[in-house]
Amino acid sequence: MAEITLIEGVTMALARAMEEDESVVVLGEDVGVNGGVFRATAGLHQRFGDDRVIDTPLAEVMIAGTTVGMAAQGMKPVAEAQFCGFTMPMIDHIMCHAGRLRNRTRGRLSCPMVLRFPSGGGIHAPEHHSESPEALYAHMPGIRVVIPSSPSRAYGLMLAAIRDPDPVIFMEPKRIYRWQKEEVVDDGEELPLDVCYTLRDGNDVTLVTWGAMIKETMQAADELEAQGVSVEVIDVATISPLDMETIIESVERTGRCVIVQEAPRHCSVASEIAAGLADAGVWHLHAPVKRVCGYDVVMPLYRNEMKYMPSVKRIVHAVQQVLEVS
Amino acid sequence: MKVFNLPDLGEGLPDAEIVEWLVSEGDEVTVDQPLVSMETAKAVVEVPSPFTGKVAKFHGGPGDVIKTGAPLAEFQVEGDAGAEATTQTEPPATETQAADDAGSTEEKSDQGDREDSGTVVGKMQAGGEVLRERTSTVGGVKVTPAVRALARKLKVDLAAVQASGADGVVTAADVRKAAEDGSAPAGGGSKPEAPAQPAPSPQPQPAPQPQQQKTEASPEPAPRETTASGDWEPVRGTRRTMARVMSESHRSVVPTTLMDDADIQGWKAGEDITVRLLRALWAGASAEPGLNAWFDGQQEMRIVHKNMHVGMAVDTPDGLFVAALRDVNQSDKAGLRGEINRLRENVQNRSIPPEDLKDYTIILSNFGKFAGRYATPVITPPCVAIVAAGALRHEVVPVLGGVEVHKMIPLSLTFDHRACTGGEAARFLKAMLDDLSKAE
Repeated sequence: MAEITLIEGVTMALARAMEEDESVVVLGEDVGVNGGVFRATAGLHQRFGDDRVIDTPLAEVMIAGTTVGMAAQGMKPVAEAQFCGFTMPMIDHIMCHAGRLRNRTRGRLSCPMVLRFPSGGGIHAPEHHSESPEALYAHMPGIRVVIPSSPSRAYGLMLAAIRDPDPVIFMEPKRIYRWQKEEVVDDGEELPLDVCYTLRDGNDVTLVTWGAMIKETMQAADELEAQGVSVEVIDVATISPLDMETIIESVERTGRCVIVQEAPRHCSVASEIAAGLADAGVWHLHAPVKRVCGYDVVMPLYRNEMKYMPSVKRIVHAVQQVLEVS
Repeated sequence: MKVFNLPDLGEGLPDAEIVEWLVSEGDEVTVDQPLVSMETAKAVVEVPSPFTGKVAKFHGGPGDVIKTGAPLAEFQVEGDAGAEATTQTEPPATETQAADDAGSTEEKSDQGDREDSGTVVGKMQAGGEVLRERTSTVGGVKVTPAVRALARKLKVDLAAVQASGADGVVTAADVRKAAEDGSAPAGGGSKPEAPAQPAPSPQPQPAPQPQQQKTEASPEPAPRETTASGDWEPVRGTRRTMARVMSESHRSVVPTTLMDDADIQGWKAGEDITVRLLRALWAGASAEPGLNAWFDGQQEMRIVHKNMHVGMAVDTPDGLFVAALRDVNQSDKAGLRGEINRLRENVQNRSIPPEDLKDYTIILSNFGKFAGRYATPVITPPCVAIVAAGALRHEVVPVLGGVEVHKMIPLSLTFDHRACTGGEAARFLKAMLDDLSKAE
């Protein structure tokens, strides 16, 4: 058993899946010899060869199209896009083909592909490298959207994503790629793709988050607990389909909810969760649902990057606000 | 104080067992001096000391299994004030280990000209912090987030799962096992077995007590594993009739069921569903008269009826009545509705004359006002067909150029395959569907 980082969890899952299923192939720019943009595919080329770890030209539309084609023909491709901003040209293939193949063929074909890419900001990257487009993908019918937030969840959710018969957008929160280590057993066990993960139990307020914001959220929870506030923390993990049931159950108990996300607030996953709570849980709410988000602006370059990101302070403040309403 | 964590002694081995310490606590050792011999799944290997200094503490003795990456020994090293134990993520032994683990492209900082930071852009935060997800307590049991999520996925009630992990922690394997053997269904409360079987049906059991005695002096059934919460009571009256008729049907009929949906999008507001169903039955019989018939299996004879009398199933707290609606093929809407109401009322008041409960030629069961979509309705001999209508619903249907949402009635037609062919039944159902899809 090894203590590994989140990105190593991804690598370990890829290797495991390739080992157990010959139809799993990895493709993307520099995923082969170079081991991928953040080295998530390091070692796979050596181990599995040219046929299964494929360096492609620098052409996202082609990567997406090829991936959909491979998946439709019985392979299980795992494509890497180097950065979230560069997945925008891929959207036609994802939305209009990957997400519809099952429906279009009345179940005769599905599209068992994974498109994985590092997402989110906070690493001082240039423009088009730091977006959090989960709401965009979650809005597309037929597509799963998964964001792990720990090494073990990266491993288990990636395995499940590869084995899933339908297309999965696997967004890797790059800011926390190497933030923490965790003991992860390489046992091939996948984790469920359609449920939330409750990371700690509490009775006063529910904090809902996912991806890299788990870091600030857990720190905020620690701070709040030191102030005597009992905080429940839910890692959504699978953005689409969204497990509202777990969130509603928690909020029924705590009566208060703060949703934390890095993406802009407008029309976001946080908005969807807030709407879901208003729809089903309003009778249990003691206070308005708060969203602590990025701002509705283009992700700033690095000098202002941390001003954009939700901070521990903002989260704690939002919780204090919802606690004030009785 | 330096902590020496057990490195991976083979290729990805999870742990190793201490065979023998080759030094003692308090000994001074030098780098690479053999420290301990350990047995892995592959071999017994000697583990050299990563430090020069004094061995302060062993984390285990002979026979103990140490997990890869877990502390093996602590050292007091020269120049180390010894104030606080540092876990070894940076120091010598694990550093090489970590670099190996992370792959050959990882930081080779001494190489000089181009340092590979593991990314082509930006600055990554790297932390040595080790995440140990704390277990939470759900229903008095300890569980990690992943296992809790698994339980939710598999619909397992954690409170009812037998925990096998250390300190009573429920493991993923425990949850899987519970899901497989069904011992802890979620939502079923903590008594999983009690509601499963209301009362054993007398039929499949080859009668330890004769059935006749059973109806008499409130018999005690054979001892059961769980205590039943109610008392045994004899089944009388209409329920007993129902039981007999159903048994007779089961014994004598060869039932086959066809199911389809009638698209009733074109209906005007306020259509009488039951009346339309009755009319559709006649449409079906017009197309295939063989379903509006009686069949005598013993004599191998049948009567194909010229008129249609529909047996309508009427649900009451006392049991099911089948009231006969005469000459459906000759009645108009108002007449049918009046007759239906009369029969219903008589059934509810228990004032229905026996002649209204017999001699029907086909049966209609409209259970849709309660719930349920399709069914496998049961034929009452000598009839050969029964149609059941489920709950009306909205369904997405493909139309030229897109999809629309239409109102549908699900229909289930059971026919006696001794008396009718599948083709006859399908054409009968098709004629019903066509008639029901008409605007009026």
